[in-house]
Amino acid sequence: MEKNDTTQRTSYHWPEDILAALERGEITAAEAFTRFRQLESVGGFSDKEPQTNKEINDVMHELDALVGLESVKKLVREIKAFIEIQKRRQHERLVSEPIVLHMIFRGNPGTGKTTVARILGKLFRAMGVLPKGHLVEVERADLVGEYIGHTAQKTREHLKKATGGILFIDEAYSLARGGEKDFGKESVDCLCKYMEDNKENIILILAGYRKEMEKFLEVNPGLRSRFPIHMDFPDYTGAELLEIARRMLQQRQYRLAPGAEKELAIRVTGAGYISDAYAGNARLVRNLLEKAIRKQAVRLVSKPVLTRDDLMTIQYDDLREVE
Amino acid sequence: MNECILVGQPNAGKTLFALRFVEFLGMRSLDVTFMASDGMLSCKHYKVDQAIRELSGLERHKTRELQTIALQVPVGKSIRSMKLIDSCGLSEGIHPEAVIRKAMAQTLSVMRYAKVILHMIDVTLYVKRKQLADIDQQIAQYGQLKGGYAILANKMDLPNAKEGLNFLADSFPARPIIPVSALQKKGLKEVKALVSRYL
Ligand SMILES: Nc1nc2c(ncn2[C@@H]2O[C@H](COP(=O)(O)OP(=O)(O)O)[C@@H](O)[C@H]2O)c(=O)[nH]1
Ligand SMILES: [Mg+2]
Repeated sequence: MEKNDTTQRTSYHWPEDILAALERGEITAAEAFTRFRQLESVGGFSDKEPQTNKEINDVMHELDALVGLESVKKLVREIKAFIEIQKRRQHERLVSEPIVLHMIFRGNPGTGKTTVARILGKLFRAMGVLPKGHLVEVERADLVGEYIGHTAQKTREHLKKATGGILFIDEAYSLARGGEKDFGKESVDCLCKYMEDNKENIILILAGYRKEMEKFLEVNPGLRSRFPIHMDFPDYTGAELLEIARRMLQQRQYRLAPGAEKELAIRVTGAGYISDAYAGNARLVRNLLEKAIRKQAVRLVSKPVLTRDDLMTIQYDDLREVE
Repeated sequence: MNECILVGQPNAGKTLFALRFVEFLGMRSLDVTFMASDGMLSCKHYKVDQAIRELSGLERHKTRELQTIALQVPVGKSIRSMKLIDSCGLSEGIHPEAVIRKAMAQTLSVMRYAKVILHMIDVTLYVKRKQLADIDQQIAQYGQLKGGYAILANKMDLPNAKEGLNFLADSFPARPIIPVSALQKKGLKEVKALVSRYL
């Protein structure tokens, strides 16, 4: 639109033009409504239902099936909607916002960050945002080298591997360790440059403890705008951990004897002596169960007769013996 | 997903009402997704009373971005999900701040897709002034093109509110008007009944 056109004369052919004029301060909100009505009565456009796509739905089901993580799920839905709208805009040959999907995941270990990252990879592939959608998980040691030039080389190597998908950097704040002279900074610079050059082809996720990630962003203020999406992963509640444990066992075709169920509840819900160690952490729960499964095997192996039920059941003692 | 957007002039009581509605549905806490005008998304968890303290207030244009709350609404025996979207107030004239103008554009763009538009009006605006603000007129005309549209006549707890309500009823004879008071939690049941029809 020409700036100096009076609003009387300017005609807008697309709703987005009207919104843009409103944004630029050329028309009032009230005028924008009038324009909308004119446009819609002419039948200038129609809103199609977003296409449903089996692959996308499957991924969303996978997300929904995760225990807890309600606010993460909601945010993923928002992002999905945003991408859909941008795609529809492209389809109607409207200017579309570049979709910047680099993210920061804040939360303690074992709170579902990697799992969600993997699901996002699949979602973005299904939606055509990323060509491959695979996840490459790295940490400081994979990116930072020992001598000058080594860091850039190592970082680039992993970036290349992740291209087409997601590069997930766990404990990313450790890249800010050691201050100015540290090679971590070189790695960050290299990441930023690569992101710029390969906008359509890679998504970066920086993950780590909440506080540390905040500090990391403070030291690297330039990163905040490059990583516009922030997700918080709260610790799992006791009830959620129990549910996670139940599902893990079910998948492996084990079940808990009543006494064992109680012991597990005590351990994960904070009513017990070592509860703090497990607080909110699903990974520790998995380790606990895996150890219990091994204890069960030891207990059973010397018995002459074993029923199917014996083989499936984790007893109180199996769990109790895991420290 | 079913989207329901609250629109209206700044200070009409949209934010307070949204949170009261959440409370009315039995939720003690809620997740709010903020979509800033530059597209940045963030999500925050609140207790209802904390959200009321932090998100609603006298300051004009306190709400500067779309705030989405996901809700589960019991309808008969089933439970429907819906998104309640609180929006930046639409003011008259051209706002000097670019951020606010952008947020208003966001509001309008969501109104295009929303299933239900709840048009919140502070009735006390129309106790003395007996002429409809252009923006309220326009919202009503546009809203009526969409299926689910209703006017929420808010602040019915204030003196002379009835007069304002009568004026609205005369001005919009053909539109549903629900008198409410976000402050005193009145009219929530009626709004729920209306919204449920469209879920
Ligand atoms: N008396 C009264 N005040 C209200 C009512 N609803 C909202 N308010 C007040 O109006 C002001 C603006 O409310 P807010 O929800 O932020 O309005 P918004 O700009 O439309 O989101 C706040 O000070 C509220 O406490 C109501 O029903 N009665
Ligand atoms: Mg508000």
